[in-house]
Amino acid sequence: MSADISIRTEGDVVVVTPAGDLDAVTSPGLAAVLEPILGAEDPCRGVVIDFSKVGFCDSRCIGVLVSSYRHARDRGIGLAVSAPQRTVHRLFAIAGIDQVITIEDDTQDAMETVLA
Amino acid sequence: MTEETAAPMPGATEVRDAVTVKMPADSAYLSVLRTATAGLAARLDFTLDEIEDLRIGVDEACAMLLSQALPGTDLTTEFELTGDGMRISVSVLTADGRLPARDTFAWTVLSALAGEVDAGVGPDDRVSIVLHKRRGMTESA
Repeated sequence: MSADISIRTEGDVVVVTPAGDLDAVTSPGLAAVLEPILGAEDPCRGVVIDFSKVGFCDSRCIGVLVSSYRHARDRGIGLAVSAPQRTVHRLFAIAGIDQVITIEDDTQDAMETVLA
Repeated sequence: MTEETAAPMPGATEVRDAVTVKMPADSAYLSVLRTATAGLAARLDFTLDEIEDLRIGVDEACAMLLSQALPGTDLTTEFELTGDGMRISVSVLTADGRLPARDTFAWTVLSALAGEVDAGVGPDDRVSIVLHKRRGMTESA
């Protein structure tokens, strides 16, 4: 079982939209999508991970977000998470990753933030 | 927990609220167990946040145990209603009876959400993680 993940490019920003649950089974799939985007020879300027269709995430998913954030930072790419559902946002706050990674309620706002 | 639930007598008012879920020790079943957890917690008047905490807590505990479960064995989850909440014990058979490491991010998340958490080893190197979540103890984030 893998999470359904769509990717679209708008100007200099790549928006990655996973759908479903991101757990120990499906989170590696998100990492596998993000790695080549962040590691590209001629990378984009910003990446937004749109969480609006994610109903569940756990520590494994947060691990993928944190390692992706570090990868993006090292390569000078802006990275933000957008539109998490309330329960997922609550886990981000409890785990403290909202202090590390930019989380915007709105995907359009996030796309501007990552380019700032 | 070896005690069996007695069949309720006609007219009996007390039914021991205990449910055991046994499934293959395979992470493909994590989502099924999360759904079962949410369904049982909803029966007990937990708040939506508390139900979510339990869902994540059970998921974290199982993911931890599955990494050391013997192939082809079962993951057993026992849910038991206590006076003020729910106790959930998740266990697997392992090769060496090693307790889950407590210095991991997964354990931090588990202990932040699940209330009281403990781990132990039983006969046959069966490793278990026990969560005890009480109602009305969740801080809103």
